[in-house]
Amino acid sequence: MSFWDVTRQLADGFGITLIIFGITLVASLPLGLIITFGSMSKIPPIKWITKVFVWIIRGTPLMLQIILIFYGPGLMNWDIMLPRLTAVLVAFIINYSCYFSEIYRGGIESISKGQYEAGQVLGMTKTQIFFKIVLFQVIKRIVPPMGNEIITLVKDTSLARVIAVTELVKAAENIIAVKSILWPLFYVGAFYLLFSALLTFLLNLAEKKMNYYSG
Amino acid sequence: MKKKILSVLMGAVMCFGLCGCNGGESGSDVNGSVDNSSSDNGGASSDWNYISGKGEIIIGITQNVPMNYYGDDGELIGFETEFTKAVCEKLGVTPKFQEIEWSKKEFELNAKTIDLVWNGLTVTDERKENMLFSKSYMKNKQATVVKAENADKYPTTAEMANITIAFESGSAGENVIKADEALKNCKQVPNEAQKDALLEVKSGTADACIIDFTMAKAATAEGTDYADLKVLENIQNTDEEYAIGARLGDTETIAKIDAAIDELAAEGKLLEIAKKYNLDDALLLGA
Amino acid sequence: MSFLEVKNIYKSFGKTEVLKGIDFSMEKGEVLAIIGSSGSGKTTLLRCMNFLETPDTGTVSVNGNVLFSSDEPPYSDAEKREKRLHFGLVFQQFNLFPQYNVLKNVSLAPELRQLKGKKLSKAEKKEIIKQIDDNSRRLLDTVGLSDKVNNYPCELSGGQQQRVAIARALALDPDILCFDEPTSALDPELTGEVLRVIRELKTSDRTMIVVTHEMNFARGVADKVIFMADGVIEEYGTPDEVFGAPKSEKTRSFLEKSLENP
Repeated sequence: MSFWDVTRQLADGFGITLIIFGITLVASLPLGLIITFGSMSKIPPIKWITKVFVWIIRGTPLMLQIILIFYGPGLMNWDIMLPRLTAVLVAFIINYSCYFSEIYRGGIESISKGQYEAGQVLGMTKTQIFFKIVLFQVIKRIVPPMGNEIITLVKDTSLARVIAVTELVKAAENIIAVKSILWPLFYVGAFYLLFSALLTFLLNLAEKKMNYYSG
Repeated sequence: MKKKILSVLMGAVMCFGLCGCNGGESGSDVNGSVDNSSSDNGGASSDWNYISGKGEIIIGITQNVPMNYYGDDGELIGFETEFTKAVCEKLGVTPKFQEIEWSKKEFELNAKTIDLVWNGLTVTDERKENMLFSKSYMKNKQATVVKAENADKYPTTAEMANITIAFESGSAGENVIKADEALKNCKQVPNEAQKDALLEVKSGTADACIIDFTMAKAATAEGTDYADLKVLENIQNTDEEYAIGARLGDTETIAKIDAAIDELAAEGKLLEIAKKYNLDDALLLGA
Repeated sequence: MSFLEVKNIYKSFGKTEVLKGIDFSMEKGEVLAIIGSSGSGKTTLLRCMNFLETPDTGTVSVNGNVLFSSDEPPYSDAEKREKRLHFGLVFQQFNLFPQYNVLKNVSLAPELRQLKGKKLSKAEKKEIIKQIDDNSRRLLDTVGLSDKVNNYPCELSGGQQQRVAIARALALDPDILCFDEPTSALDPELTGEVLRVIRELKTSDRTMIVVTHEMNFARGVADKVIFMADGVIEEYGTPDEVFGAPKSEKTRSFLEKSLENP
């Protein structure tokens, strides 16, 4: 099997990897914020239900969650059957929203009370204070830990293969299974490395852009 | 064991409270025997109605030569692929080939994400607890694969005592190891799939592996990265056979498949497909 | 009736009584200095008037309007927002918005206030923003920072930051401007520029309440001085009365200590 044949097949798998990565990121970023509001809620039931949910999701392996979401409904005889990729996306979005929510929470709690009070005495609404004053400062502070999580997400996408979604690693494994050649498995490393290099570059850029002020 | 895992998982599903819809039916299906009364088409309720109602039958496969694999033109081919298509033509349903993770085939069946496992599936007593088998259509045997330089060391399994040996967990190969006096004392390395067991031997992390003979032959052919491995036929094989796996309780479906297989064997079609993939020696029916 | 009337303010945090019945009043254009040792309740009093804390009992009225009364049901957030605009507050720690430049720090609140929930054409919007912008530049000019409008807070000295904070508080044109120890977080050589600005505001007839440790400033600038101790007003009067002839023993010993280590 030629280098280009392998590259082409791996590129197909990489396409799925990118879909999982992209959709998870785009959906989890705002959803995480909603979960943050839940876990910081002043209404005890909302707060505790959210906290327990986050605890369950962060306390169990993502692989188990994928298996549960895909096979669970069928095993329970429910009439919902998610397509494989959809099940992967649901699991990833829930999982990453919870991780992001905790990073957001840390960021929000690190903003001094004085910023809120300054907004209050200037007659701003709670929403204005959050979106006009606090949020940007939070974003600046959480870029480094979010960067970590985002790079982890790139590699976590390989878990999709537990329910036979042909992402990058599974694509390589298929080549190995059929052609009994091994080098494609190491070749996938190059895909991951290049992609995370690109992300690292973008994250650094974002960090630099926000460095126009300190604090 | 599998039953336990299933019920634990289902408990977890309930805890998650993923969705409350249709909850009335839950809980009746603990050991995977599919409740025939819960058919979708609302008419006469049977496993076959469920499948024929859909018009397609989902076949769980993995990519492996010579059973199911993509040819150079990107088309799925292989002995099982063609065999499946021939049977489905007789049944009047469209096969939909779905790649699965082999270790999760029972999950796939019970979750109805596939309808059949049809991929060189060896009949074992353990598997019979979790799925219903069609009639057997092909012999299978297990083979030892070692590095070529070690090929002469193991004329029989007796010489293999105390080496490190890899296999796919839950496979027929594992059964061979458990049943063999010498092999059962080996250091055992259970893998996810047979191809991983081969990699163990290639990289030297295991001295030998025991996998399906047909797969071993195909994987170590010229031009592969495993060409420096050798397939040994040193195992006293018990009668191992390939059959098709369905959900426990899908008796009507299996009956229809068995009838179709008989017809194909009588017509000589089965032999024709087997010859194409060099498997005619192993055929149990219509040879 | 006085311009500001504060009556019978009590406030506890848990079991700690911080304010134990505060009554005072002041006239328009006056400057009131509140002095006292830490923990005497002066900051809490200021925060009560700015609705950052809710008093347990009491009333606050400005210009005859009751802004706070413990007899009324709890105010909604929207009511509080309207009421607190009668007061401005300059914090000890400045609390500027670090991500906005100096001009935006001043113009943000008026912009949000005037544009919120209104359907305006682009031209109208532009006109409003321009007005706010001009006003903000004018305010920054009065605090002596017209050359820093495009700088970010982190690029300014503490004294400059506090002057931005004053301009920001003035941007909403409050009836009464409150200062919570405005020079306490500053290096000694920077306090002068802030105090100078407050002094200049007095000449423009601003009504101000200044909680401060700067005795000379209180004596030189304030029209009235309150000395607080243990949650009550221990002494009230003109600077000459309080500093020159304190009636209370507590005031006398506080003033002695303050003059020893200013």
